Amino acid sequence: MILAPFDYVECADVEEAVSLLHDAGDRVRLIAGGTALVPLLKHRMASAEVLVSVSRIPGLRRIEVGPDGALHVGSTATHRAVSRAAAIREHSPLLAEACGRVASPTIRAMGTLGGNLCYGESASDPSPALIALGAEVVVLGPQGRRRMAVEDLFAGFYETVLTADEVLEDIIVPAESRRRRWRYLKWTPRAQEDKALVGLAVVAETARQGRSMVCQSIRIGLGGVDPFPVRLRGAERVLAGAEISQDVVARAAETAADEVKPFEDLQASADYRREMVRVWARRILSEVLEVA
Amino acid sequence: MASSLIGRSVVRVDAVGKATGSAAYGVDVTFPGMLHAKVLRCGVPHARIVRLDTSKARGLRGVRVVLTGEDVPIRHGPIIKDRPVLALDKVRYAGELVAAVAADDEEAAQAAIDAIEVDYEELPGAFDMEAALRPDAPLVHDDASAYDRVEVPGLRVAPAAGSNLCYHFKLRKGNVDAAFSRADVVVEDTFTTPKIQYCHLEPQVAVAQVDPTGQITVWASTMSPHLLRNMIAELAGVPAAKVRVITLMVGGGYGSKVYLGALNPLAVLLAMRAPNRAVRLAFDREDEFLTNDVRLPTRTIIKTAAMRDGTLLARKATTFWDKGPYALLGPVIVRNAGYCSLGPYRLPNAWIDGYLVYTNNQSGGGFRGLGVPQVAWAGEQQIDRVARELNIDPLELRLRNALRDGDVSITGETVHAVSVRQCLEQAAQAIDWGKNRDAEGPHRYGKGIACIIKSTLTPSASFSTAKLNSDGSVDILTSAIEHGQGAHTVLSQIVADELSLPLDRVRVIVQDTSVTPFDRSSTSSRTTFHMGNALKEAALDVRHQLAKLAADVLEVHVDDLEFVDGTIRVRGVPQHAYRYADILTRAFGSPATIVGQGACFTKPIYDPMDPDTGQSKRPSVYFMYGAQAAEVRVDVETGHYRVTRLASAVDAGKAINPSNCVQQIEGAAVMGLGFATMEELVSVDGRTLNPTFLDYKIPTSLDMPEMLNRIVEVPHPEGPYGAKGIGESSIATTAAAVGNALYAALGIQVHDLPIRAERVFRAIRSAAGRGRS
Amino acid sequence: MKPNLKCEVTLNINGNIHELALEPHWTLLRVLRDELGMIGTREGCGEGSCGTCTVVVDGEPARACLVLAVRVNGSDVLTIEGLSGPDGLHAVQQAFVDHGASQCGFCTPGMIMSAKALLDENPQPADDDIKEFMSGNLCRCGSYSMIFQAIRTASERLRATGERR
Repeated sequence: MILAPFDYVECADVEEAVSLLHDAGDRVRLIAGGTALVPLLKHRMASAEVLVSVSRIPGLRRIEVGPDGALHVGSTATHRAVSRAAAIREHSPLLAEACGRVASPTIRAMGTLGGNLCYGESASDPSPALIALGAEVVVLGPQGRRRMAVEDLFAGFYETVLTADEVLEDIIVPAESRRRRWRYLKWTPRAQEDKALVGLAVVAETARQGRSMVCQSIRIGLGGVDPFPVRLRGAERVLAGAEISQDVVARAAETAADEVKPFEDLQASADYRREMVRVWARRILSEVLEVA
Repeated sequence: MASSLIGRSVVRVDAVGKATGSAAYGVDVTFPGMLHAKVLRCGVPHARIVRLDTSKARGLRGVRVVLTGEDVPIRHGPIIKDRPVLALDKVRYAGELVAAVAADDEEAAQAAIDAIEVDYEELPGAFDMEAALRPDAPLVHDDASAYDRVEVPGLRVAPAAGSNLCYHFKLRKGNVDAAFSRADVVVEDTFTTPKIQYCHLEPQVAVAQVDPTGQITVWASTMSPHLLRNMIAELAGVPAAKVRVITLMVGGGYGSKVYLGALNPLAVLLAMRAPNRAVRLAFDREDEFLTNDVRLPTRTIIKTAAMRDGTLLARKATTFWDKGPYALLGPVIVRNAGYCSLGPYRLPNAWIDGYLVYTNNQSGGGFRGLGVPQVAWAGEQQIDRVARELNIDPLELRLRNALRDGDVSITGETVHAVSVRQCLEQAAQAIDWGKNRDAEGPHRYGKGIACIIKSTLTPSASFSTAKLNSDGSVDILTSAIEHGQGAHTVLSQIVADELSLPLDRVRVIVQDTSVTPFDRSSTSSRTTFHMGNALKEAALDVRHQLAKLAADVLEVHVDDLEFVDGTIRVRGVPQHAYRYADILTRAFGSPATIVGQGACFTKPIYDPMDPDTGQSKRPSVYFMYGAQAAEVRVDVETGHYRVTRLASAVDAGKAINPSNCVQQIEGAAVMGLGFATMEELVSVDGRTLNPTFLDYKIPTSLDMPEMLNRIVEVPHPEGPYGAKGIGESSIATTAAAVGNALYAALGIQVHDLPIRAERVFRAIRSAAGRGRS
Repeated sequence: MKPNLKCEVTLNINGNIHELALEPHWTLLRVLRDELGMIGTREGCGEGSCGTCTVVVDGEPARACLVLAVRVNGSDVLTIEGLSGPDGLHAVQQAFVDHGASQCGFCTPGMIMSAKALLDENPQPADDDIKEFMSGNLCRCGSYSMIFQAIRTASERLRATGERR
């Protein structure tokens, strides 16, 4: 398979990339790691006269914790860098774990966190993790910057709310309590190396109240089930502030199974996806909340 | 004195070349000024070509040759010549090629392909095998009987006009109906298997060049250079002497890359129109998924009758085989798998129908196991159902009915060198049969076992030459291909051993039809047996010639000589050891060469199968036996399961290189695991939806169970050192072994492959719904 | 901006500097094979799913079929040809030979490069680490067990000799 010829520009900063995208419209495509775009170009499912690269923009792959305790990850940081960064393992180990599950090691070394988010794939591993962490993205467009929660980034099947001339710059994970419990489940029933059929990320805080444990806060992100990564707000509402028990976890899992809008593909039917949300939500929530 | 090389796990002769990347494959062949070819796929499964306009393509920069069916209206096929080189009046499957171009570079070739304009008038298609046999079904070929045919011994292929039935295999023994009436237990079920793809990592590729005298040279990634040579000669309308096929290392075949295929004719025909420039045509992965052949999908209705004591009385199997639009090797597959489809058992009554059906789906080709994986999925799972009905252990039931030496098979052959029992016992022992793990939470454990019998291509022929060089080293001139199965190593061991040489003094040089003698093909697990025999004979021929020369030179009798460590000595006078090189120099007064030849051909022993009864006293020169046991852990809440252990026991006859045997046994088992658990090319109305590794999954390192491999050795009297073939047995048993393990764990049988978690989940749900656990 | 503008790219491949004029849409795989005649890195799928084309770029494993050569201007590229030298085979290559880890051998260079990247990063990988790291390299011949054993042996030998080769 060969690529159709194109020209190539290495941008010095994000503003340059935005300007090129704005001026040339759909003749121009942004390229970061290339692990999603290059196959699309080869299959003629996408086309470009010019590829605009953001991979050599200084600072765009930074990983650092700010003075406010928030974690900043530049959009061109690779999954491999994110999964191995000491700062991330300490601040938000869930993100390190999720990025460490993307595809396989070589793809992780090439693919970027920003590229993964902008691809808008339902079975993205980092997306549900970032949703569960309450993360936001910063996007630069011709009109300036805007910020949004990760769960608000997605609009449909492989579709984000970004316009063609917007560039994702930064991913910000807020400072949170160190007492958080977390878990990422990547469930791949078809083959061990596969995209997730259920990609469930949970971040919760619990506290003792008298003789029982209470779920003080919880966020749940889910990939692989709905056409795009989603936040399970219904299940969260069942658990937030509730006394932790097998019963409440089961109700949360039922709610999760009801609130999802699963799609069907070669991997599985919509119905099976829904059933598996029911099973795995119960299991993972039980584990995170330490229900017997 | 060096010990024999036979039975030694020597390091493979191709290992270093492969580990350094220096071993060259067909994809590596390149010439100055080489043209690059590309192909245009139709994308519609059944349609008339209304308009095909290549005028724009021909005018583009760097485009040298453009071909359509109109330019080359030739049909070919190894049995029925029904396949056009490029589509003629209509296309019959979505991967069919309608045009090919050769250009100065890949970009120019691609631009030319993109510039070809085609209009199709879509026709109703035949996509379901059984529906395709109905009188009102759309016809894939209006008159398949009008095509030329190649006579194949023991095969009556007579498709009728106005029908999609390509071939019907029949086997009749005894009286199955009477047996069904008097049996204690009769079970009947239907099983299906899907399209799966070879996925050899090296794609198909050929580089063809035609010189000014019309000599055609093709560097082809093929498992049968001589067959290809003959077929290319016929295609090009030239004598075979005008065609030369050269093959390097082959990056996987598994039954693909055997005949002309879609690719080879185009490379040659393009080259014939671009005199003196090499033309390279390589398929990309999407071409492989969509245009190359697949394993024939099947639907088997099978019925088994048994007595309470576990004796099998009768089996009746009807298998529908989805051929796709072109016959290819189909009839041979249906016949050979057909008569092995009832398993390696003693059966007084047997009835088999195999219907090979033309459809507008992708073409089915010979694929490792040649149909036995498909029929074993059905037959071996049914054995377990019978076992459950009779409350007999599935291993025990098999052992009671397993063929033994001296039994008569369902084709009427008195079988020898049978090893079913040994294979079953070894597999069972390796997996600790009889010890079962208790349930843990939602997890259940189970073990299952399966066994098979498979034939080898008969009749066939292999010829070879061994060339003793003036320095005392030996070149093996064989057309046997190294496609991963270790042939070059095993053959080197045989020749080195016969000539008392260390292994590094013996080499396989080239596979080149101008140099290396005829070999039918490196398929059907036949190379060790046939080429091994041929080379053993060739090496002995050299040995005898050398002995005679030495006897003359040393003035002794031939019987007084012995061969030791690459030298010739007179018995009782060990201090005088003469190197082969010295004998040659002394005999001829100059550097010299001795050539020995050998052959192995099975026509004399072959008994052609009766087309109405399937009876033959010797349909296959040897049979391959294997058994496999699987252990699964299944999560009853999700249906997801893991194969935790897989024990394969395969009869090698004689393991000439045991580690090589393990490579093949385990490698076949991994392919079997893919067939059982995850592989499926999904098509809707003839259009494939997952032509990419992202959505067509094959096993990776993470899917591997604990592999327990056992080599069984029940020697074959006619094999070299007793060797048979081992490359296909352990791909054929895996699906049934895994299915039977799930049956043991859950009490539920899955009837359709692959065994996906969702299928297991639904089966568990509906069984629970019916009140069974 | 005209397409097909040739770019000047410098690559250090196996210790040798190459100054090349390339087109932006040429992959590193194409440059290695077609421009430089290095046949050891091959294409199995062209879309990064099979691992056959794995090389090491600036110390990180990469799919040569997905890397645009212009994007790695100035980079160090290590291919299978760069592993063996006058002292013989690299420990990973020797272990592959000793354990019979190649059948058809087409996946072998990619496997070896991935294994080298693994051992460079983690000289003493646990069994699960090996299987996980190698999960992106397909072997259709099914040699995974032997490949696994070879990597374990290579790990032991490298640690024993203290080499980082």
